[in-house]
Amino acid sequence: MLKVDVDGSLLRLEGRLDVRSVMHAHQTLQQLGASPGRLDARGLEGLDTAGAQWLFVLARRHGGSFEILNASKPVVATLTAAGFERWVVR
Amino acid sequence: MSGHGVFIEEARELLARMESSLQGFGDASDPQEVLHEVFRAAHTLKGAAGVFGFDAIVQFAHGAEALLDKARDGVVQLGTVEIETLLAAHDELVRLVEAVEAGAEVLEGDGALAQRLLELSEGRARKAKKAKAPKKKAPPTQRRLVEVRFGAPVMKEGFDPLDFLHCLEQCGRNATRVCDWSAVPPDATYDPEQCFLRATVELDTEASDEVLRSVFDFILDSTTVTIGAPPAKAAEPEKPKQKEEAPAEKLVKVPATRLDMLIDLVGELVIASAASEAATTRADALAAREAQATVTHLVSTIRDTALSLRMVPIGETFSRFHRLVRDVSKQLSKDIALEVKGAETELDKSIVERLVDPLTHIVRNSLDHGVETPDARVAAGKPAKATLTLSAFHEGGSIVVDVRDDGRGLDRPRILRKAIEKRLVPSDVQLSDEAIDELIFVPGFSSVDQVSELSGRGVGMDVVRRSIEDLRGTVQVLSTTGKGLTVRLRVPLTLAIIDGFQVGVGTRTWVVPLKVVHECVDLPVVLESELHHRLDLRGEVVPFVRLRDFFSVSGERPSRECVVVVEDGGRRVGLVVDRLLGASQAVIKPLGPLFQNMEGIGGATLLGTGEVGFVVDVAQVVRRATSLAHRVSA
Amino acid sequence: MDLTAAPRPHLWFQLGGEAYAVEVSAVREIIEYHGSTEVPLMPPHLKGVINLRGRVVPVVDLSSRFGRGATEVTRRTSVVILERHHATLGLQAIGVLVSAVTEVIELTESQIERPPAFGAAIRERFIAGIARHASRLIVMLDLAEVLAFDELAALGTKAA
Repeated sequence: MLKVDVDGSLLRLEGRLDVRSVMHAHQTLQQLGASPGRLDARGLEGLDTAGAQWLFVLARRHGGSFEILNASKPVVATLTAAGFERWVVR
Repeated sequence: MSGHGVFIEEARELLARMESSLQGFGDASDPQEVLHEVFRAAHTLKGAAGVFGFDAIVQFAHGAEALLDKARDGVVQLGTVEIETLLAAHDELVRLVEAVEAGAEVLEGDGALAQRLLELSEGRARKAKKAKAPKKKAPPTQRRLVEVRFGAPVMKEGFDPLDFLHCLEQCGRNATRVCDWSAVPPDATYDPEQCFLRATVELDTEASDEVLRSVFDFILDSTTVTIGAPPAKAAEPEKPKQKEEAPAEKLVKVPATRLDMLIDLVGELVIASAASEAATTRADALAAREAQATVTHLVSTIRDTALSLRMVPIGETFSRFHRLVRDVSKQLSKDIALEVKGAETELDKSIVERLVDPLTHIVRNSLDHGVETPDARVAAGKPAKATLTLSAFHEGGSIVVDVRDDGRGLDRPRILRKAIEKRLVPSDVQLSDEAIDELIFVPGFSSVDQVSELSGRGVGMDVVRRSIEDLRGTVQVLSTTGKGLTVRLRVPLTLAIIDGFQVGVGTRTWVVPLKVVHECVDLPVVLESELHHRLDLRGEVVPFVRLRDFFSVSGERPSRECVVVVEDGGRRVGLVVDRLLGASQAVIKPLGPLFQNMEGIGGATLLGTGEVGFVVDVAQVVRRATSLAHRVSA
Repeated sequence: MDLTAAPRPHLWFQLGGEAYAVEVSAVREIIEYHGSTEVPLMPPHLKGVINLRGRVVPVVDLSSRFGRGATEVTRRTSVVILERHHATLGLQAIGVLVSAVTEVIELTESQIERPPAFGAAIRERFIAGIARHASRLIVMLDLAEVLAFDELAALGTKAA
C-alpha cells in the first residue's frame, strides 16, 4: 500500500504509485488541502503511467515546476520515458 | 513556439554550467563533485532534447554523459584529451542549440566528434584507433511516425501505456518519443485512474504499418493509432504564405517575489485609482489631491518594480570569458588568470546582451596586446602569470564594467606615430596623454602593425565605442605605462527610462538626455560664426548644429534661439533649439523596425500631453555636426 | 470537408474611392484618425507615429505606399491597426491609414479570383486576390507584401 505524507510543500511517498494506489494519493492530498511542489521519492518503489500522470497534475499546479528528490533508477527511467525528465533533480 | 523557447533557455543554462564546470575541473578541490555537476548537466540536457526529439543533441549529450559516467566510476581517467573533447562536444551542443533556435528543421552533428567521444568512453582514447568500417548495409527501412491517443480506460484495464510505447520502439531503431500530457483535464474534473496520455513515436523500421499497429491490439477499441510518414518528408499541401512561423519566444527568469510585489502594487493602484475617481466625482479637492498623490507614488514604485523584472546579474556574462581567456592564453603561450568581481551586479537583460560583443573585443585586445609574454613579464619584474580582471559595480543610475589587465599599458609614442602616419592628426600636433589614449577610438585607427588573428577582425575600438554609445553609455581608457590598462564601460541600468531635458523645435517637443547636457545659453547673433557653424563659448570655439535644419523642420526660426551645449566623448557641441522647456523623466519607447534607418533619433517618448516626442541621439548628431564643421573649415 | 470553402471574415475599407479588404484575423482594432506625429526625414508613406494607449505605433499611408500620393484626410479617415510578426522583434503593431472603413464581410473561396496579370490599380504583388461582393470588386491585400518590414524601412532611408 502506498503511504502518503505531506510536510509543508514536500510530499513523501512510500511504496508504489500506480493505477491501484493513485486514487488514494489523490484523495489524501484533497483531504489535506495540500498542493506540494516537491517530492521526496526515497521510499517510492515504482511508478507507472497513472502515477506519472498524477505527478504531472501536481506539477501543473506549480506552473510545471516540480522537483523530485532521491528518485531511484527505475523511477527516473519511468519519468524519463513519460517525458518528465527535467523534474528529476537527483 | 514557446515549447522550444523553454528548451533553448534551459539548454543554454545547462551548457553554461557544463562549460564552467569543465573549465574548473583541473583546479577543483573536489573533482568528483565537479564531475557530478557536468554529468547532471549533460544528462538533463539529453533528457530535454529527447523530449523535443532533437536527436543530434541527444547523441552528443549522450556521448558526453557516457564518458563522464565512466569517469565517475573511475574506469576512465579525465586527462587533457578527454577534457578537450568534452569541451568540443560542448561547443557542438551550443551550435546545435543555436540551430534549433534559428529554426533549423534538420540537425546534423559532427559525426567524427561523436565517434571520438564514444571511443574515449570505451577507454580507447590514446590508441587513436581507426573508426570501424561501416557495417553491412541495412535492409530497406523507412522512417514512420506513429501517433497514439490512449483511451481513457486503458490504465484501469490493467495496461500501462508506456509499455506499449516501449514495445513499439522495439520494432525499429533511432526511435524518438514525445509524450504529450496536455490533454489532462483541469484539476476539478481530473480522474487519476483514467489515461489522458498522447504520444508520438518516430522510428526507422522495416516493419509494415500493420505490424506496428498490432502492438496496440489489446487496447485498440479505446485507443487511436495513426501511422504515417514524418512531416518533414510529407508533401505539404500548399498553404497561404501569411502563415509565417513564429520564432521561439524569448524567456526571462524572474524571481517570484518580484512578481508578487508587482501584482500587490498593481492591486493597490487599482484601489487608489478608484479612491481618486470617487473623490473627483464628489469634487472633494483635498481628498482628490491626497488620492492623486498616492496614485503617483504607486505608479513610480510599480515602474521601478516592473523594471526590476528584467534585471539579471552580470555574472553569467562574465563567466563566458573563462573559456575565452583560457583558449587565448594557450594560443598565445601566455599565462593569464581571470578574476571576476561584482558578478552579482544586476542590470537590464537587454543591455547585458548587447555588452557581450564589445566586452569580447576588449578582452581579446587586452590578452593580445596588453599582456606581455611570461618572459617579458619576468624581465619587467612582474609575476609571470598575468591577471585580467572583470568587475562590475553600480554608480548612480549606471553600471560600471571594468576590464583591467596588468600588462604593459598603452604604448603612447607608437599610438601617436600611427595616428600621424594615418593622417588622423597633423604631424606637429601636441597632445596630452589622455588625448593620445583617445586616438584609439578614432575610426580607422588600429594599433597593431600586423593584423593578428585575435584582434584584427576589422573591428576596432571605434566600433566598441559606437555600440556602447548606442546603449547611451560611455567608454573610457585608463592606462598606466608598464602597469596595465583599464577599459571602463559605463552604461545605464535600463534602456527604458532616462532623465531628459525637453526642448521645443517648431511645434514639436524633443528630449535631450540630461546626462549629456552641459549648459544652456542664448544663441548670440553673430553672423560670421553662423557661417562656420561655430560659436564662441567664453573663449572656447564650439561647433553647433541647428536641430531645425538637421531634422528639416518646416516653419520660421524664432528671432531668439537657445543653445543646449552637450558633451559627447569629450567634444562639446551646441544644439540650437527654439525653446528650452526644462527637465523631466522620459520613458523611452522603441520606434520599431520601420524606423531602423533614421538618423539622429534615439527613440520616442510620450509627453505629458499624450503626444509623441522624440529623443535626440546626441552621439549621432554630434558626429554629423563635427564632420560638418570640419568640412566647412577645411 | 473542405476547410477552404468556409467563409472567412474580412474587413472591407475604402482607399481613395477603391475597395480593399484584409482578413479580420490580422486586424487588432480600428481607431479614428486624429493626426499623427511626423518622424523627421522619413518618406511620405511613413506617415508618422501615434500614441496607442501608451505604445508608439507607426502609421503607414497606404495610398503613398501604392505610389498614388498621400491619403486625403477627412472626417471618416481611420487607422486600421494590424499585427505583423517580425523575425526578431516579435509581434509588431502597424497602423494603416484608410479613407473609410466600410464593414466586415464574409468571403468564401468561391468569390475570390486570382488577381489579373495586369490592369490592376496597384502592383500585382500587393494583391492576394480579387473578391466579388455586393456587385463590387474588392481587392484583397497581401499584407506580407504590402507591409514588408525591410521594404518599408529601406525606403525610409533619407532621400539624399
